[in-house]
Amino acid sequence: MDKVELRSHILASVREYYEEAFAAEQRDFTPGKSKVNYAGRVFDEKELMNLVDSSLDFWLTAGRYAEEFAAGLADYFDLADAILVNSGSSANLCAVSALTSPKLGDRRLQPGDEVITVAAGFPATVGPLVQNRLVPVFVDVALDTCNVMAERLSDAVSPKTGAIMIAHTLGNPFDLDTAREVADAHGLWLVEDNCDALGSRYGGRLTGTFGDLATVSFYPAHHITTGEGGCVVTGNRELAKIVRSFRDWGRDCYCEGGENNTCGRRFNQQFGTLPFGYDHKYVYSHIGYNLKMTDMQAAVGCAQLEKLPAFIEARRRNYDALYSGLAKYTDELILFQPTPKSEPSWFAFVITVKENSRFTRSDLTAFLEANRVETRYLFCGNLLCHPAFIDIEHRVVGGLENTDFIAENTFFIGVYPGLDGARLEYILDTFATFFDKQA
Amino acid sequence: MAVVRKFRALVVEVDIHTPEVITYCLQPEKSLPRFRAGQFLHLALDEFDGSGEWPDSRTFSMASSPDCRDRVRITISRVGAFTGRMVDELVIGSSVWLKLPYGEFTFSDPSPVYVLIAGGTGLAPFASYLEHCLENNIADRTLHLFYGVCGPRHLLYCSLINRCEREIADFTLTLYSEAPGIDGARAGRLDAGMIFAECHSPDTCYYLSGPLAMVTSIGDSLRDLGVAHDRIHIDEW
Repeated sequence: MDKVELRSHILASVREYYEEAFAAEQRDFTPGKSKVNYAGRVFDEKELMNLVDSSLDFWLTAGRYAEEFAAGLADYFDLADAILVNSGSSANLCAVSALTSPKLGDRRLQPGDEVITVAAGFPATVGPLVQNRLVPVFVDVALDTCNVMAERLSDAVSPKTGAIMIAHTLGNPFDLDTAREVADAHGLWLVEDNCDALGSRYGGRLTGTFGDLATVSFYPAHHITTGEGGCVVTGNRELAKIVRSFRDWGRDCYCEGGENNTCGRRFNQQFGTLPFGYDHKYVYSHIGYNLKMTDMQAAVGCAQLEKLPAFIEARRRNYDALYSGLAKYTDELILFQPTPKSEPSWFAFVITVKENSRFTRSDLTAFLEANRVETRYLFCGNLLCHPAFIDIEHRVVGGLENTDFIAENTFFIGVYPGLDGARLEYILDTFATFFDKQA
Repeated sequence: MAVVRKFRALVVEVDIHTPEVITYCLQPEKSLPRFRAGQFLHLALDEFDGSGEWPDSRTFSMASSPDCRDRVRITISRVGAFTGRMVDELVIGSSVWLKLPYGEFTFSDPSPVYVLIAGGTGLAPFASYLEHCLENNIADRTLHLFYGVCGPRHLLYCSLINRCEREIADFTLTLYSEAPGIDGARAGRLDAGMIFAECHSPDTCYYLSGPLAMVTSIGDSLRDLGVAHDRIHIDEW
């Protein structure tokens, strides 16, 4: 066999391997015995075949699959650029760091500048602000949407405010009309942490397309996965260039790995106080990182991206099924509500135990877990209560009562596409049993 | 720069202006990625399997509008071994590899008056921009095109320029020709002093594209005449 035939033989074997090793695992479910995860990777033979195909290229760093995946994402968002990185957290780090670039002149964020955000979320939204010596300004969230109380955004603006950076909580878009309006009125950058919301829409338009920058995560719990992985999307080409620079060690040159002199000016420019014509490939305009995605991760992403519309539909279907099944418990539970004007691509189904309930969050989650239904708290609850964040420089505007309430009483269960009718029915039966026991 | 893509393309038209200057129309195997008028592509003649090392290639400005995603046009001048191979080997039906988009020479300056100064095949990025303006009825600024050529046979994109004269209200064309034979053309080479005298205002910005010696010399002259550095945009490779 020549190399082309060998490759095709190997890929055919991979297809067989998938059937043998994974197909049944994804299908089989025994109520009470099989674990009902809140999330998980959903894939078929295509992801495995792409992964092996990429490994046979042995290109390793960003290559043909990375190019295809990035282009597919840019097309999906209908934006000029998608910059692949090695995680959603790295995407946030690159996005925030980009806003500190001297290339932005007067609009750059400087140490001590404030960024409006929320404390009820994942640390990867706020962490990059602190790492860049910016000052987070926390605004409370609503209990039903778990999103920023948008009416308080204006109050949070001060002469030092430079940006708004907020996550669409667990797939539920925050009020983008108000956020955009406040950003525009005060000349602020708007960064959408879209890591948990790939495919969500607000006013009919995809989240991730409202901000100057937006981020996406491809961690296995997310809408599509590359294992570790993420990207920054933007329609602003100057910001895209800066994000790419921060991703690639801070270098000024934008050639991809393995390429040279794509601009044709590699040896005839002046930078800093370097000798004229110093190799542009080794000129650094930022203190950057190395956060690139590999081609093997992107190969999995290409196959996942094709499944995204079906995944979004499944997540919405599963949310609807859980909502209608749990609606009878709203005397004691607050169920996750979509933000007005939004069509969420749900990450999870959030439940908050009301103050006057006969049971606590721990009672309910312990029961669910004991019955193999996986639960998670809403990430940090209140970020400011965590050891790493207690002493950070920050401001709070209007109190964080709901954030504290969420830290005490909120959890979520899954809606991911791996939940089929049998698993959803089992979740609802488990809730029913719990409530029967309370009577 | 946007997301760069590599793909195969077929030569679907060959327009031989002179034995040394040729326009190729290329049809990509998949839709062109987004690009902006003024950007350039890399063209490779040797086979590429989509992965691994990109073969030897050269850069060419895209001369067609970014609104057209199923065709791209380039105009080349035979100046070395690579472009010599292009002239000798490329016929209708030939296959090449492209990767794009690249470049910062885009028409994003907010100035209300653009002076476009092109020498020879340096007209290509302006052709892309002008076609884009025509297709989108963009008439939000004054456009002065100064176009210098060796002689009548080197005059490129005539029908496009004629359309601009007819359809863009604030468009003027000034031709320079080193050889006689073009009605209304000024004799000789592009003259920075004259262009400055005729077009300069506090609102004017300058875009320069063409041979290195030409853009360097005109750029230097404009700076000597007091034009701010950030008002001069040069298509430098």
